[in-house]
Amino acid sequence: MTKWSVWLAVVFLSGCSNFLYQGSLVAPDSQGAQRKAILYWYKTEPLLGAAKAGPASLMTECGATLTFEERPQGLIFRGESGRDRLPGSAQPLADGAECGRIVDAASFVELKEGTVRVKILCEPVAGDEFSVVTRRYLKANDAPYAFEVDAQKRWSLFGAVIPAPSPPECAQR
Amino acid sequence: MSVDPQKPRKILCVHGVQMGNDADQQQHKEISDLIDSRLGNIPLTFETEMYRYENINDAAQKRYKQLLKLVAQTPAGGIVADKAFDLVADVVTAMLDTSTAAKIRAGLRARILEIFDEGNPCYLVAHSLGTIYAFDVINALMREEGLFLRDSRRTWPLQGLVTLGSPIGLPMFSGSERKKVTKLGPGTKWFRWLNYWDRTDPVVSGNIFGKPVRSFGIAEKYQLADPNQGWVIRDRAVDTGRLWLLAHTAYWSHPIVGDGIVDMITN
Repeated sequence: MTKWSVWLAVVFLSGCSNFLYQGSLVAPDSQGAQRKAILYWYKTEPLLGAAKAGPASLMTECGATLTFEERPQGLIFRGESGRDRLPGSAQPLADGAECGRIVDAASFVELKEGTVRVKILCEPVAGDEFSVVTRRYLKANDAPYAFEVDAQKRWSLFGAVIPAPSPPECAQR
Repeated sequence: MSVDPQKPRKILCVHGVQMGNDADQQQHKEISDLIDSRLGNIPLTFETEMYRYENINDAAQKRYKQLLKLVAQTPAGGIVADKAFDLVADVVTAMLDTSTAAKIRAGLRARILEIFDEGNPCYLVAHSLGTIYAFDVINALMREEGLFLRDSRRTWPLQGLVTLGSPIGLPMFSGSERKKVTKLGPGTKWFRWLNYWDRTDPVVSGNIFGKPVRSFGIAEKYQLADPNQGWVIRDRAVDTGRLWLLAHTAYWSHPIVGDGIVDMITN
């Protein structure tokens, strides 16, 4: 009886469904080259309690990985002064200014598989002597990029992380 | 002393609240594997290293542990009391301004400056209680003459900070030395701090039952609108795929955390 009680407690306290969402497309990067971009994020639904999810990584071939975070104003990529700027602008960006947005939901828990639209509003600033690679990401565009996102689901007693998609290989820098 | 950007990146890992001793702290290997898995084919050489302080903690707590074992009369009670004390005493050691905490900070500072002398660009990845020591040491270094000149990253003994499951948002850690970060002054370079936390991590929330945190900011309480501060601070709520205390130990191998570390050390 005691043994079963312990097992039940473990199942209810730590048992959950783990999800990986991912989608990809090919589009111009900030320097105009056609690049593969992969978007992915995680969600966990516990047996007891509220679901949790995010943030999302947007990886661009031969470029940077952007993080879309859940903030009060939605799912956004916040730019950094010195790393991002508005296209063609010579002015430094205010730190934390919105540089990208996932437009289909206000929270990662609500974001589902299917078409997920991502807006990019900024472009990267050239790095310094510490930059190993040129920082690039999808070209700023008024129209959002549409990712077709699939979901993988796995049930786990203690929780788990489904392996993430590998960063896109860079064939030509 | 000057940092050479061409030298291999050094990622110095600082563990948190732990049971066991120094030999058990091998999280730098997890970070090495994580970076390898998220780097793709970016041409970057790096090394990871552990800053360990569990033996310093254990030596300081030895006589209290013996006392606790006497109190916990039965053998089973003694084992449970010993484990619990190990964790709680680590927290109290960091929270209070003890000589043990000072020794741990001095050791971390010394290792960072050794790496600086060697010229490797150094990044700190700290977990749990280790984030408190990391925060203290970085801010103290920023106040030292000749270090962290805003527009010359070659004078920066640390190029960035990543914290995992940090309790820095809890009132018990908001001592007078942790009210604000050290300003770097006018300039165009930015010191980056990425703080990853899981909403059900009890060490972050201070809620022993793992009640989820619904707010958005923890480390960002330190971010000022003043550009002369020179810090970029980002709180990133990450779903580790695990719950409660299991979430607290899951950061070291999480791909989203790895993506953030790779982005930091390659730029």
